[in-house]
Amino acid sequence: MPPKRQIFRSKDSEGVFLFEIYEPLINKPNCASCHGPDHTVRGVIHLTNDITGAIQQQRIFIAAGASLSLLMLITLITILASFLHRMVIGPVKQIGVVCETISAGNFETSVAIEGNNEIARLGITVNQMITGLKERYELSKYVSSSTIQALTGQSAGKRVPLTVLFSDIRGFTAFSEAKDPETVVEALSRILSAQSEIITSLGGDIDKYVGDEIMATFTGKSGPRNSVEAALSIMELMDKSDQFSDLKVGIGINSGVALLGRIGSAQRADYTVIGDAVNIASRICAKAASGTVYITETTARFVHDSFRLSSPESLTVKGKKDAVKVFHVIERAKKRELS
Amino acid sequence: MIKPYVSIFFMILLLTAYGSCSREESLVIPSQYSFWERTVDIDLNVPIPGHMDNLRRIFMNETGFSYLRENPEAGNSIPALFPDGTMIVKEIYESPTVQPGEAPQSLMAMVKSSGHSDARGGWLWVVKDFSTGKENIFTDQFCVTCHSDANNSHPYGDRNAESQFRDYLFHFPDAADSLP
Repeated sequence: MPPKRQIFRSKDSEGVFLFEIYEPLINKPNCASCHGPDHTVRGVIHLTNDITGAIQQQRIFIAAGASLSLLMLITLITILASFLHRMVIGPVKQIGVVCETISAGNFETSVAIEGNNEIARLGITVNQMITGLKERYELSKYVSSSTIQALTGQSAGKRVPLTVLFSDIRGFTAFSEAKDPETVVEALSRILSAQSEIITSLGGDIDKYVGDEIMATFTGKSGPRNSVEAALSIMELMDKSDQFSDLKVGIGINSGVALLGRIGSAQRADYTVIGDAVNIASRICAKAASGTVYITETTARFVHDSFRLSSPESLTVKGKKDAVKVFHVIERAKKRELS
Repeated sequence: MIKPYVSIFFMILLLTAYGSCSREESLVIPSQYSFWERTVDIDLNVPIPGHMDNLRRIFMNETGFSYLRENPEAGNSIPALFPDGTMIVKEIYESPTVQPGEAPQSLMAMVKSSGHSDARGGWLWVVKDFSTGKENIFTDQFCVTCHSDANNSHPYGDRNAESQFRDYLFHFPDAADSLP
């Protein structure tokens, strides 16, 4: 093989970088006249150049370039992270906080809307959802749970076993005539609210308010017991507290099968219970004296172990030919009596 | 749907095979070079750099000789410029003398191919080593560096005293040698 030019970089023992070229000097025919023809290569030109400075400079440039690139990358990531945090993560976290607040039952919150991007549109949707939930929550104060359930469920009537509680304020007509309307409304609201709170805390459902009267229903196996417990609790509260203007209630409770369904016209309807069981509860309530809880025999069968009842009484009520057997709830049964 | 891919695959395979074959077939030095006329009747064994005292015999194809016959003054009173297709083959033997029946150990050829990217001075500089049977084209300046002296006065043959451009040939052939 013919000799070839060699170019390479080397490093000596003292750490000096050299750029080296080995250039063969060909013994050309015209050279051979003097130098003789017995060799092809007359010599080798060896050129070296100290490139330590250039190498160091190159390394500095590379290091500076890498540092600058790293710095730019970090800056870019920081800007991007900041942008993402400001535009996406921050708003999403805020929406999360708002949702947690709503889950805790506080509807007085909303997502702050900034801009017109997807996140902002999500915030608008969440705010609309909050408004809807708040409206539904407010509506639940005026409409029974069964009505709300019926709005999303079937509206066809069905027969259900339940216990109906009627509570009516005694002497309210005279009270309302003697007091100014503001005082009347305030007192009525306070009494109805207190009763409603007790009823709902024991699993009852406020079916409707009719003037100064409450109609509530209790379902399930514990319905009769809970309804009587609610009645006693109402009586105790009315006795103990002086915030009810010395007003008292009379309560009637009956258990039986009633027709549950959407009752009314296409324009205005209630989802309520009707039937004989409801009518009897209403009638015995009307007969209950101030501070008295009447329960029918049907209810008494379920609760006689839990409450001390009076001897049965026979009540003649409107719309019933036969007298209705009722019991006066005296107090909760003592434990030893239960045994 | 598979058929087009299969066709493309076989087409690529075919082209690859053709490429491989054509490379084998593209040997530059033809085997019948020894039937060509020699540029110098004598065997050359004068020691020269690059070939030392190895015996050398030089052949040129008809394209080259035709050019010389048509341009008898080329290389003397006018510059010589051989046409593309001219081929000169130099046999290199192992020793200064040739034993009967001895074959050359290698061939070196100049192929006029002025448009070729590997051409140096308009020539492709090719070597064929009989021990491997392979041909190689020199892509560096080694051959042309020495042969450029042929275009000036030099120590070989008629020495080109007039320093005429002789298209890198030291032993410039005489066209009359090729006449029948």
